[in-house]
Amino acid sequence: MSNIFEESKTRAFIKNEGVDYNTTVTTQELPLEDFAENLQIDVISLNDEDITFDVKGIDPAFANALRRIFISEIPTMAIEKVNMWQNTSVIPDEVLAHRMGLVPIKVDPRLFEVKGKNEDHNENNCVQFNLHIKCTRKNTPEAQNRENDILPENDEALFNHASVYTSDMKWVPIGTQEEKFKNTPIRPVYEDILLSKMRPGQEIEMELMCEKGVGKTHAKWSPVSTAYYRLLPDIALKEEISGEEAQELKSKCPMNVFDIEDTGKLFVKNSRVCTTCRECIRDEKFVDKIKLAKVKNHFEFTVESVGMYKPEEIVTEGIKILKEKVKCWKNTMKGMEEDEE
Amino acid sequence: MDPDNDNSKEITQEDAWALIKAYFQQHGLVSQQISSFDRFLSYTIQDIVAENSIMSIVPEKQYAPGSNENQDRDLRYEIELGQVKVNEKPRFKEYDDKYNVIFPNEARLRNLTYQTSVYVEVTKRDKVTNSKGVEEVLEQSKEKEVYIGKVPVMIKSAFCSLNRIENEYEMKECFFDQGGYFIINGSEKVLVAQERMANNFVYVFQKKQPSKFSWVAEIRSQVDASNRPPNQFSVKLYSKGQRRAGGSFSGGKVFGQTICATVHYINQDIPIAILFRALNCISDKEILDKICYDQKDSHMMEAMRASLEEGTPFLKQEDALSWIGSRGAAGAVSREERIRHARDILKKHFLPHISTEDHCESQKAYFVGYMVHRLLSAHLGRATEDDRDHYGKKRLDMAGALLGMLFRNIFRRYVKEAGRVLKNCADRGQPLNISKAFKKDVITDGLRYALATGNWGTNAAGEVSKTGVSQVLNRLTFASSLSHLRRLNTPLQKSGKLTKPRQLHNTHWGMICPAETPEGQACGLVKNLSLMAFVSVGSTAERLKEILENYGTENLVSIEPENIHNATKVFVNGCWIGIHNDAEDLISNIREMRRSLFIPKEISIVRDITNREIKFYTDQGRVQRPLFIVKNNKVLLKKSHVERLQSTIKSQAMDFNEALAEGLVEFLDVEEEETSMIAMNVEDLQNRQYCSTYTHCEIHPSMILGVCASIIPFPDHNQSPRNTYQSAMGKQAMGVYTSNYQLRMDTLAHVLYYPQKPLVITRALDFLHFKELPSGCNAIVAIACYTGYNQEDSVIMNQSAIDRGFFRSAYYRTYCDTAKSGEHFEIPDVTVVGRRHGDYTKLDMDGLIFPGKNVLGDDIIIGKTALPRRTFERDMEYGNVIKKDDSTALRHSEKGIIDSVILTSNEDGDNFTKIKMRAIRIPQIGDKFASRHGQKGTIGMTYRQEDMPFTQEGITPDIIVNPHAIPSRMTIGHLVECLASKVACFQGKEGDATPFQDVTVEHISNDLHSLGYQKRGNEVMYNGWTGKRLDTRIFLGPTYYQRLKHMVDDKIHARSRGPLQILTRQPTEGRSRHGGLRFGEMERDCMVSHGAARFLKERLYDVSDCYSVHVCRECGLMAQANVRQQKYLCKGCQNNTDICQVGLPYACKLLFQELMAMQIAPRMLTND
Repeated sequence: MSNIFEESKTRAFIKNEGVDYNTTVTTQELPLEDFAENLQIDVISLNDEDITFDVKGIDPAFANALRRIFISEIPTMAIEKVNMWQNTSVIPDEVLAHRMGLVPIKVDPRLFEVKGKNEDHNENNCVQFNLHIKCTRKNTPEAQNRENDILPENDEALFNHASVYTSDMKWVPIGTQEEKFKNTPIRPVYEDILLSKMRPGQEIEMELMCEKGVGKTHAKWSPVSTAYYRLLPDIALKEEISGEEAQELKSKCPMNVFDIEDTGKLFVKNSRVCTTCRECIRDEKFVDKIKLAKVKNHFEFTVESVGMYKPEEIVTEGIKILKEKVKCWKNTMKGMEEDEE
Repeated sequence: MDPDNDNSKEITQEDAWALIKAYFQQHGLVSQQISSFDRFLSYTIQDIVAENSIMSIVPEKQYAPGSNENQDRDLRYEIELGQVKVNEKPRFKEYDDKYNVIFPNEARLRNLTYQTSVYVEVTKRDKVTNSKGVEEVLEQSKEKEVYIGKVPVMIKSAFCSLNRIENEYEMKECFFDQGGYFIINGSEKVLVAQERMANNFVYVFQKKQPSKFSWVAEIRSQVDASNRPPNQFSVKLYSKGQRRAGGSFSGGKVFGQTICATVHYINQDIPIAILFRALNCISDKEILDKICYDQKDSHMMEAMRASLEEGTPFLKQEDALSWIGSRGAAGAVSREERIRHARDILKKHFLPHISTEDHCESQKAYFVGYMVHRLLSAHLGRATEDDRDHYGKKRLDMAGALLGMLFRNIFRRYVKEAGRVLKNCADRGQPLNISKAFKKDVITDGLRYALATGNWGTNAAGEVSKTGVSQVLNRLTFASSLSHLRRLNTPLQKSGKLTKPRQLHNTHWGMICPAETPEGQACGLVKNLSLMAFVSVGSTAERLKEILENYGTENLVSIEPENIHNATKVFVNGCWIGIHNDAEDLISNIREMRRSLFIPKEISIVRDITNREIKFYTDQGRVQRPLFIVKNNKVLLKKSHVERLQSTIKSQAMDFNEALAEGLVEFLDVEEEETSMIAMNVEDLQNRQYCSTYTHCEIHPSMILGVCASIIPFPDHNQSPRNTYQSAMGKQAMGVYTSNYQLRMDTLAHVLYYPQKPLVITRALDFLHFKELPSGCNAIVAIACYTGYNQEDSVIMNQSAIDRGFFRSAYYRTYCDTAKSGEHFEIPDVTVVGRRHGDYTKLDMDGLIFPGKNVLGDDIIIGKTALPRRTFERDMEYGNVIKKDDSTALRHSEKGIIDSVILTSNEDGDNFTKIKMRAIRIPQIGDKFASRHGQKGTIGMTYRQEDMPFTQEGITPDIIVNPHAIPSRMTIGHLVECLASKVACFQGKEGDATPFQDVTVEHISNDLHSLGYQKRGNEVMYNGWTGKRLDTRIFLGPTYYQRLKHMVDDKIHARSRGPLQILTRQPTEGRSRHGGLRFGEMERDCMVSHGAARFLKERLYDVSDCYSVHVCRECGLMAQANVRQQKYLCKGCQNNTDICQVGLPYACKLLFQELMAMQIAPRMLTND
């Protein structure tokens, strides 16, 4: 009994139906020393686009604060002002401008400042792109024959610039920017984002001004497509299962959490992949045989970068911002204490 | 055929879709409109002209002194209208007299009418009666093409210019547009099909007692395919104890229930025996032969006894005719005259559908006998009352029939007028000027007026007989346009409490959509055709009659009455033409002819075995649908045919018509459907337990649904009203309403930025082009209570998704204006009177605003000035003309960007402009959204991504709907759609949600589980604010959502002060006029009961039409007052001292003055 009680402090149990009332975490006081000692971060996977890492020894409030910062408080650069000089394409100006805003820009935002309300665009708060493109007919007999125009699938073969891509955006350095970003030229993260389709005679000319901002203001400034975590599943067998039941249970799990030993005994092969579909404990006969739980203080984070930052940078930037926030709070609190005195 | 051959294998239900595809390739969705119109312009118009073809003009004899020329000649002009010629392409005559072929888009943009000219060949004959009394043709002249007017042309009909164009988009048309509508003055008009009772049907009804009659057999008789008003004829059986009023001739000696008949143009009911005798059935035996086919039927004989006794005083045909004639319009004339009159009526106006020729009495007598037979059968309890709502007895007047009716009316008036003009000419002895007599505009304007207003035809009193026949084509969503073109209306008093005609009838199956009907007043009266329903165009019955005769039908004239009992009666279009002794043989022969298309496919063949009748119908307006033909419980369409249907090789391919010609499928109308045994699906045929004598098989049961209901996924899992709600809501969804929207100038249009095709679709959507022109987005929907901002049918929406373009839409509004004579487009300068308070600076030099300009409420977008009505050139020269401002301002509640401006000329050559404004609508709190299951809601709150709950895969919902929306509404389809979408999403395939198939929830669940998800689509989620795991699992998945046109930006309204009405000085009404919010009666009651008198006074008086007058205290009437000079006077009393000021509403003052104008003196008595 006490065992379960003890376990329920660290584990959230999953029932086969109804509401799992036990998952609410009671935040205990966490002395800094304990926190520092228990905190453990393991990177599970990392590539250009996303990172998955485990964080052990924190509570949801902490984890969530990080997650929220990743999504909405890490500043990036995004197109905010568009000067549309010419747009004879079928996409209306506003729609095109909105599309431009969502294009991720590969530039280190830490080198820029947030543009003040009354400030003009300058080399410290702005990155400028120009996009000037005109669709023309290619000089081939097929292209000159207008009857071919209606076939949408071969427009690339007939026309120059039938599709406008982000690669057509030209960076226009302001002031010393050219020098400053000599080694890391500013460009859109992806070259092949389709911006618009055009037909001969249509033209787009615009100036795109990037500003620094955060995801809170508009989702285009969010450095991540999403950042999330989940609690680590903890699956164990309460009693030995073998034979037909073992087979049944093994086949029930689409994620292959269970496997069968040579002896015919069921064992938990890989509990991490569990998606909590609960199919294994749906059947009454297995309810008491399997312990399906989540580790309350073990978070598996995933951060999917849009591309302005490397995924691991987002994590460190996020932690920095969290630190700043804590510092800020600390100062405020200090001030309040002094006031009281 | 070799049974082992793979190709002769039975088809599966899946194969039926190949045929359905072929059907839609051939017919499209608006073929009922187009084929009906084509028939009108190709045949009906000629028939109508032929009907009124000959005009005879006899000039009044002039005896001019001094000239004896031609005086004694009986000159007569005969004008014959012959061949009609319709221009095959609509043309438009520009103001400078140039003719151009016009295309629909030009007509739409320039507010022109898309119409084509009609010419008639006119032959003029001068005839003279010579001394022998024989007419001779003196001179004959022919004018080949006399222009008579223009007829609007249906888009994509045989007469449309688009017909010769291979690619519609070259002519700036939408690729998917199906036509079927007209363009009148630039607006697209649909002729909504009108439902009516069929003519030439015998209906037997029981009268509700107490009534004079117990049973009535009625027929509305009309000559085949003519548009003349039908003649009503009824045979009535008196109730027990009822005696004919004024039936003095029988001396009141007749006992029992007699039968009488009501004939058009005869003022009194005719005892049935007299009618028979008038039709030359003299003896009682002859009469009984016509009625009781079985001589041993003593009950029916008995029932006739009283009626026969009643007729005893009139034993000769002449006596009977005289009796009838004396009760006609002619009244008291000689006996001969009366008899002639009666003969004439019986020939021409009595049962005209049988014949209007001489010597048809015997046929008509047989028909009356048949009606009496039906009446007595019902009376004797052998047959039941007829069902008024049976759909087989309904006919739909499509565009062609409606235009036919209209054209006939106008043309008759037109010819009469032309005759009058010609007569005038002739009277004066002038040569007949034919082209002058045929006015240019009567027909053109008459048709255009009816199509523009929907007021269809006028009756004798000049009142509009039908309204709302022509409607502006709904262009909100592509599906709504399609649905509009397949709509039908029942012109019935909408207030009527009768519920029966509104109810879904069994016979609607497959013809009328069971879900799609409006709610409220028109519920069940406005219907929509099912997807595969088609309306017959009509064909002549003559050929069929010939064939019937060749196949051994004995004509009624030549048969012995005794033979009727054992033979089968043969009817063609309700007219009894004869009997046949081998019904089975006849039926199968004719049926084979139809199946090989030897006779038209739309002829229906009905065999009523119990009553021994065979009925054929060839008329127009019957709803039909195709079905598989089944023989020996096997569908005749085999795998080999399916392969041919699907084949892309031309030589092998089979289209739908070939399938018809090969006798694999056929069209059945409701009446014929009743006599066939139809299997629900192919599987039912194999399973012989229920029936082994199927004659037909449904092509697919989901084809019972109409356009809007076909969009609903899993409608068979929903409570039925929800499908009805969605059918109405689908029409308000935004999408891409037509692919050429940028080239059009619609007064109002919504276009979704990023429309998506649904993850889960029904098969029928392919034919509706819903995938090409969708109207919604696949949103990730969670069903949860997250905070409380989605209560009472509101939803929470993901702000980050909105930032990324979720459900953004563009909104277009077009303003237009014409500069008529004396008006000019220009920038009105300061000298112009009546300038608005808007901003004139945004106008370009030509007085019109330019594209790309930002505009907001009250900005002037069209600058126009008008000269005063009487302006002389002299005034212009001296420059003392004060121009009036007649500019157009943007609606004050709107803002946007000018999208495009056109300046052109209209029909009259006036300058004409259209200006299109565009605004972007980003979803915000208050905007309305709906799933495809009648689940609508407004945004109650938007949360950013980080605030939304997230799954263990990082998915955040786009929309969170409240779980309370589900249980009471029972829209299980909503949940199944979500589940199926989730599977479709992970599998990367389209989900199939076609109704009446064997996809089950269990299948979908198992698929989902095998993908590693919880079987029923539930997910563990984490709270976005606290980061804690939610205690409950949440049902989450993609669901197709629609953005509806109702948006807060169009509704938001408040007023602190503003304009007043001129008459009453009360605040104006309505948002568009910046009006006040009404403090109504109920609000007033509330304040009264609170005792809040001062507040009430403020609401109703101070902030409304506060006013004060001066009252003479002597007479109590209003006095003159000059407040500035402190002078007051009551003229009547000559009182200038005893006057007081009274506050009262301006409306009250107005009332008093109006009363005074009526010689009523309302006196205000004031206390000190």
